[in-house]
Amino acid sequence: MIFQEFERNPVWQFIADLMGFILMIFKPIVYPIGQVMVLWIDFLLRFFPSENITIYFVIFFIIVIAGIIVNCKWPGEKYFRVYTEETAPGEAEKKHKSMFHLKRKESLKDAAKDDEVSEDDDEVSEEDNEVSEEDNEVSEDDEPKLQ
Amino acid sequence: MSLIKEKVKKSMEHAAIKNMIRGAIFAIIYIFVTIIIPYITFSWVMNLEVEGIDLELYEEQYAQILFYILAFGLLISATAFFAYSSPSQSIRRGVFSLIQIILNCFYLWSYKFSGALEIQITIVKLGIIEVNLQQLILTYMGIYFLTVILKTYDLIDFIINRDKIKFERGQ
Repeated sequence: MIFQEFERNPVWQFIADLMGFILMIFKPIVYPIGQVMVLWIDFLLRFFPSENITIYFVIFFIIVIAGIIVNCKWPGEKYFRVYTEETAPGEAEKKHKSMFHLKRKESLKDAAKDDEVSEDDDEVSEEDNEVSEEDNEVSEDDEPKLQ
Repeated sequence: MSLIKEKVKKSMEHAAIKNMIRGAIFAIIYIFVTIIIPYITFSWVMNLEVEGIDLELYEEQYAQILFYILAFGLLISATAFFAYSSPSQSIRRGVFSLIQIILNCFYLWSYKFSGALEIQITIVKLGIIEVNLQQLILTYMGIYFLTVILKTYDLIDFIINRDKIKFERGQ
């Protein structure tokens, strides 16, 4: 009765038709793969113990306990940000590139500053020369005084 | 520095508990789906009566199918616990998801021992109807094979991009 009710409903009928259509399309591809799968599964099933259920219980508990231990040791939570940024793949190159650009900019700035400074230095040296000349004059003036 | 260490230690503990709860939830779901529901269904079919006629399965068949349901159900649930309690995109999750899919194939194929794949219905005055579900199972197996390929691809991806995944997890 339940199935008949489902059959009357056009929505269920549409879903069933759609599923059937998909299965019909994929059947030529999927069905032979399934046959191959069944071959090796049949072969391997012979090696599974089919009399003693306790083996499966033991395996169950071993896997669960191993899972608990592994999770306690390596829960896989967040790493240190400092370490991750350094060890990040691709990030180091980016960092390197950005550092390179920064250094280049800095070096250009420094070069520009140096140029300015050297110009200033030239002016200063000229001033110094003047000053030194003045000093010399002074010193010459001073000399007789000392004498 | 000690404050950071303490914070990391606490977050690790929380993560471990969170992972284990998630794993336990999925293990319970799998126990329910792969062991309890089929067990109840087969027990019900074992004692089913249609218009006064018993639809009894053979005792041997019944025992065998229950054995395989319990055996593979336990293995699937255990691997589900391990897989879902592992951090996402980790190699161990990839490995155990793959094992779980393969065990699912075994589990599905073990249904053939029940005789449920070839059903024969006798209708009075009309004849016999045979329903062969083996083809449907083979189609399912093909789909499972595609899932195995997908999981293998995931695993390879997790291995290759291990550093990247770790870095993204640390953000």
